[in-house]
Amino acid sequence: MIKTDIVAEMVGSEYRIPVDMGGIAFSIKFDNGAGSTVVSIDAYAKNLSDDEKNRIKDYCESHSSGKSRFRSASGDFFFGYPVIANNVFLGNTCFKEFYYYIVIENKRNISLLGVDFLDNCEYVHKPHENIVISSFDEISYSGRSMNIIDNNDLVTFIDSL
Amino acid sequence: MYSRSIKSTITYCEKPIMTTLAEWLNAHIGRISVGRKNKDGYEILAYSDENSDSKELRQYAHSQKATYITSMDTEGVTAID
Repeated sequence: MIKTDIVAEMVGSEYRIPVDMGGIAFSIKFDNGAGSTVVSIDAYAKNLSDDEKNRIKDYCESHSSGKSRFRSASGDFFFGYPVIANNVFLGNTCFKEFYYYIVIENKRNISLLGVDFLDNCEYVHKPHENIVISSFDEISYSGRSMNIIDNNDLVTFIDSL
Repeated sequence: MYSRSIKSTITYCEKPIMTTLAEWLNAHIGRISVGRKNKDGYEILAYSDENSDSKELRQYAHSQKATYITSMDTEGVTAID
């Protein structure tokens, strides 16, 4: 277990954590109702054309072993491609490895920190206060063997569009 | 305090705005920005409320060796199976 000091702060009706991932920063929703951690392509670039999204989709298809199918609360189905990012900051804590699914086609720009990550966390929530993640089991979390997209390569590809 | 080009919807800050990532993101839902990380937080160098400025800001972030900062939806609940 590693010690962490990550604060999920209440914003509106959600708990959100700031993320800095390879030159891109955004906030991610603490969501233990989501099975997987997902980030939509809007985190990297807003206002992408359909052609650009299709090219990113083709890139993801050819650089990963497969895709996972998800369903949103509204009933929409969409696909996510597995990505690994290195040296990702959640709050002030740096993670050597951070896994998520990049979502390209979903209509909404979402960023959810799901159970695949939270299952490795020890966290505390007191009434009317923020959620604090105090430790993390990086051994059980790391070392996924599936063919996975490298976040740096993905960013480089998107920047080249 | 800030310069603003007439033709652009991007505000390039004459004096960087010191903030933390959480403060900035929570206070500016929907805004896209460029910030440089330092030991105290982030210096915001430029920002825009227009999604169409995304590419220009990403390029600016790259040229400044800075971070492209964007906000994501906070409305509603989305569950993943």
